[in-house]
Amino acid sequence: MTAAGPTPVWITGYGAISCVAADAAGTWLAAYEGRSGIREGLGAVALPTESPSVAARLSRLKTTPFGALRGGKALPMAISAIEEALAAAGWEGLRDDDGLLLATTTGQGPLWEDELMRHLLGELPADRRSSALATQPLGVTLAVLRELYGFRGRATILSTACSASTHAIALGHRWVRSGQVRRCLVGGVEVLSRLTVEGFRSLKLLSAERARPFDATRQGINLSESAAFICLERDRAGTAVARVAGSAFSSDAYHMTAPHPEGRGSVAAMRGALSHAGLEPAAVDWIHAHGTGSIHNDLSEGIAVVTVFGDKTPVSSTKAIHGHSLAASGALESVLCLESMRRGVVLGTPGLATPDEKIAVRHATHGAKMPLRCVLKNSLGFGGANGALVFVADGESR
Amino acid sequence: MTIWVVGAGLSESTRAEALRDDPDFRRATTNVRLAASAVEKALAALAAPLSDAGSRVALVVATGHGELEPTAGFLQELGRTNVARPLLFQNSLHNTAAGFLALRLALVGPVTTVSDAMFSGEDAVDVARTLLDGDADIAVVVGVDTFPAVLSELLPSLYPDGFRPVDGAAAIILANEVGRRQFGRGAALAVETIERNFGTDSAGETPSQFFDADAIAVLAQAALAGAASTASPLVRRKPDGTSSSTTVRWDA
Repeated sequence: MTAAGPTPVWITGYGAISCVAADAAGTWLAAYEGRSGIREGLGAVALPTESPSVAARLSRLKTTPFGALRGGKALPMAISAIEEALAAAGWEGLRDDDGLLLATTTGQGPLWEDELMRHLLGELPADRRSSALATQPLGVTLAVLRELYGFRGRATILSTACSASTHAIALGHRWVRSGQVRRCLVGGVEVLSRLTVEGFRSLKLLSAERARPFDATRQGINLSESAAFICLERDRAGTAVARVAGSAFSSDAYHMTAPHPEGRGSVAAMRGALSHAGLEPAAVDWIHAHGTGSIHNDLSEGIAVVTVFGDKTPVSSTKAIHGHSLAASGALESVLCLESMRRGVVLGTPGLATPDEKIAVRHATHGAKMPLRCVLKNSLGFGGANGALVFVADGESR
Repeated sequence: MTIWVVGAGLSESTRAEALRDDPDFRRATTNVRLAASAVEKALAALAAPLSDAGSRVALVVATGHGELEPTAGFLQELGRTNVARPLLFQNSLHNTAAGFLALRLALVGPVTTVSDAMFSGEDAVDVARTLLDGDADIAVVVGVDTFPAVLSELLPSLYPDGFRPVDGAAAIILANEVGRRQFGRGAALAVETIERNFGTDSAGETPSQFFDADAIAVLAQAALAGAASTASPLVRRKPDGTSSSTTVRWDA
């Protein structure tokens, strides 16, 4: 991995929408108060009445070939989180010398998938097809965002399963630090689709009850929807909550759906992010884990965390509150990390009652007030794709 | 930063078909087999085995459509029988080819998947360039797309100008200066700039074959053609009228 970069990459704004709240602060507050958005094992976003800024953006779709996509959830969710992030950072839209990185595994999938299934079953006459079917559900999401923000700068979609938005933040970190762009909007959006819900169910990874990460009785994950975006920039015009100090990618090269049993790739990602930041494990005040609540993920990740940090650094997962929003999860949970850093309050692991003895991490004390100077966000994904991010509070020299 | 193409390969359908008989590919998708056949050829050009670079090998896979065949299969079976098949689901992810290739090549460094419709290939080269500036010295960059026959009726609405995508994959091995010294063999193609034109009045020859990540195929073809046959820039007109222009040069 690389040596510490000389150019700080500041986080000047962020926004989120989740199954518990329509903004970042509300999502954090739900986690703090233990209010879960999981219903019958899933976390669906209830779209509120569109805010004026979201409605104004979406209205532009009517005059484009993408009009049919207005009926989906992914775009309103993404735009809501983007508008919140831009407003917090004081950005007036995107400039062509900015970057835009989007993470998703489904994009506009549900709209597309519904028509595709009916087409495959011979139930959709050609004259009833909408333009949603004539798109790539991932690519069109970025195409529409480019259109709505009049953006022609560097952009792409990362679709590296559940670590995708962590990868996107790591890539945005590199783009800004190296000067390829001065500012970068980075985040993810994920919506529930039949493919993902029934697919994860077929792999016997879903829990019908609220997830219990790291608990001895955990039974699986709660799939959910969310969007979260973060503004990264070299020049700190306003107040920055924190900076991205280090980030890293790694691969397990072990199995297509199961994590390495000893967390080999996750160890490499966390050590890589620390090395990238020029920090020792002891500098980290809090770890926000991937912590899905699946049997194998939590065990593998727990072993990895102990390998890197020992059993002294507090660890949490908040997925019992907002669920597992796949590609968007890294960005959503990064937003929770940043909000915790701003408030100086640690979130615990809701649903954890009887810690699994095989996971020998130190579980964080929920609601503990302490300066969070350095926080690590960890992510794992299908295909053995791992990522880790290190955030350091503004004003900290480390 | 200059990056070098030190290996290149295009998929071969016969080799991809033959991989069906390889036990390691028993559960592999068509995308995976095509990608693997292209990567095999690209790696054969290197002066040293990829494993010599340890964790400083990156893998970036570009795909516009992703895994349409298992996705359609999963949805069709779910719709007809209400049965969800786990293998089809795990193979339906856009990240499937990257995960499989990382496993096959024992890659433990950065591995990621890019999907940006017709700019997927250009984006993957850009992402690899970023990773070669600190994270890795060599990067396997693969473009792959397939379009199953069961969905062929949708092609005219996806590609209204008469473009018809081919099933194909291409791989290039990109290297920074360190990687070039370790893995290159003599002259190499330098990739200097990639420009995207979002206008609909773009020039450039319409490719006779097309898949959404084909910018990688274009670079692979240039690298395989040699210095005497490589024009610069490499201009690609996309089915939606956008285009890209990649500036390259040969260095002995």
